[in-house]
Amino acid sequence: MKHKIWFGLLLFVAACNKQFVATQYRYEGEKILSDIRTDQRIDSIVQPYKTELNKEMKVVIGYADDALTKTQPESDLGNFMCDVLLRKSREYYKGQIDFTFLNHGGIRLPSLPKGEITIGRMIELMPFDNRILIMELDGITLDTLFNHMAAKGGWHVSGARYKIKSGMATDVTIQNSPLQSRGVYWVAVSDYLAQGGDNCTMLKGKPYIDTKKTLRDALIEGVKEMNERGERVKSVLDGRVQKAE
Amino acid sequence: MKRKDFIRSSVTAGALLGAGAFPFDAFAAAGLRKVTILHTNDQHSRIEPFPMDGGKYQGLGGFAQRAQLIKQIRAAEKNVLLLDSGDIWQGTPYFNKYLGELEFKLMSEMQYDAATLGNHDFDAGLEGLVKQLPLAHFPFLNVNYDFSDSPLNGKISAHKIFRFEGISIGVFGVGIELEGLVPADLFGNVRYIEPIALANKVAQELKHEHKCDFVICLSHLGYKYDDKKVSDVVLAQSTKNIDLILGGHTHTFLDKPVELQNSEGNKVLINQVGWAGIYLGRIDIFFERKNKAQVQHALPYVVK
Repeated sequence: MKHKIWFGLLLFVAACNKQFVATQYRYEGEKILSDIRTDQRIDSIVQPYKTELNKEMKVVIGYADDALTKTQPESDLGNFMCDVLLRKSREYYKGQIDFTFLNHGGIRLPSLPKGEITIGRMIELMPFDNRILIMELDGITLDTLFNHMAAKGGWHVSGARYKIKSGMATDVTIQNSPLQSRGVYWVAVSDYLAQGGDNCTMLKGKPYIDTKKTLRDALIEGVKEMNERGERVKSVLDGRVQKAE
Repeated sequence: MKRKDFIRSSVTAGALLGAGAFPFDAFAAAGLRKVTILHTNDQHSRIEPFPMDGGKYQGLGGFAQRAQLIKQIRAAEKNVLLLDSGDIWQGTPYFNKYLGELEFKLMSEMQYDAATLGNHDFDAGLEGLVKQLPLAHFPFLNVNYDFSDSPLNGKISAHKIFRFEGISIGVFGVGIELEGLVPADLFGNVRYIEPIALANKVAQELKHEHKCDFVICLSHLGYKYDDKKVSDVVLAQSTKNIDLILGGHTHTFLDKPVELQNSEGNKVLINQVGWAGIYLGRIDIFFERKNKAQVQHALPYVVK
């Protein structure tokens, strides 16, 4: 008995001179699959929020004949969004806008599925409250901008075309004419990018006109109008952004 | 295989010691202890699973599904730490409509232990974040944003220490440069400070002053960049005293933690689990008691 207590004390002293060290680890990425049961308590908290939200979000505003996807350098989803944004920007500004562009990261869904287009989906696609600004930009600034878009793997455009060669933009055309360094162009820009977002430092501090409309509202209005005209959203890939051979 | 051996030997030791009148510490000294770290990043308000619409992630994710899984893990494991690496907000209409209220409520219900701030957690503005903070029953940790001139002053902690059966785990957070990423009017007077020196300082304090056995950095810097921009990889290689970086921002799906060497040649793990709650990362760390002398050079981990 005495012996046992002595042994215990020894162990205790040894413990004081020791510390815990991580010596092994095991990793598992637990995929959250649809067949996992739901936690009832979480469900009950979500339910009232969901019901209220669904009333607004499930409203169908249009139809897509094809699934549109977010790809680079060119994307049918990016083309569609930019085409609508250019059309709506001209309307808001009540004048000519030469082109518009969207940063790839600004598109927040990997794809827009075929079928009904809901308000909720449009919000997921463009969740940020970014506004459309109209900027008058010179050809030199735009040359930097197109190079930036090319370096980022190809951003999405409407009213312009360009090729990417070794991370630089070549064959840039705006309204089907080559970009002139001494030219002046009217461009619809997200206020996020105009403030230098996604490294668009070349746009920072340049004057602008604020349309006070968000990109998302423009997109929603655009899709609604297409629907009223009986027009479906379709996949368009016309080579406006491409890798140079 | 080896782990089984370890468990078997510790059970035997426990049975032996449990029979005698040994102090608890003596029992613990014989065993191997496990801490289960569960983590998410870039949840982006994905409350419900992705809809069944043919999309790439259809049917995956969902807070209620994740909560159930966490509950099961908690039932089986004694020492669980649940962490998030930021961008909890923004990405579904739940955020546009309720401005982050539901995300924080549900994370509190799941008993998150700590989170760090991602750039999108500023999307409701500083006042918007302050308004929802009381719903988060867990701390937000960050060492490299200066909040002193902002409404968040005093509401964000540098670090928190968690204790499990004598094991101390220090957790701190680092955030990404907000300029050019977050609209200026949303982050107001919050000032970004280069994170490396500050991360080194807090990790040193946690390991040596607070005697933490393991230090975790919750990071929203992003996994890795082509240029010299600071990332988790840069952070791991240019600091010491950090054992694990749980990352976010770049939505990187890592199959398993990446092992790198820190500035002293010791092992650092980096993990990131994509985004939208598609995965819950689970890292079981096994701790052994070692003599202090042996610990001068940290032992390499063994992947099980």
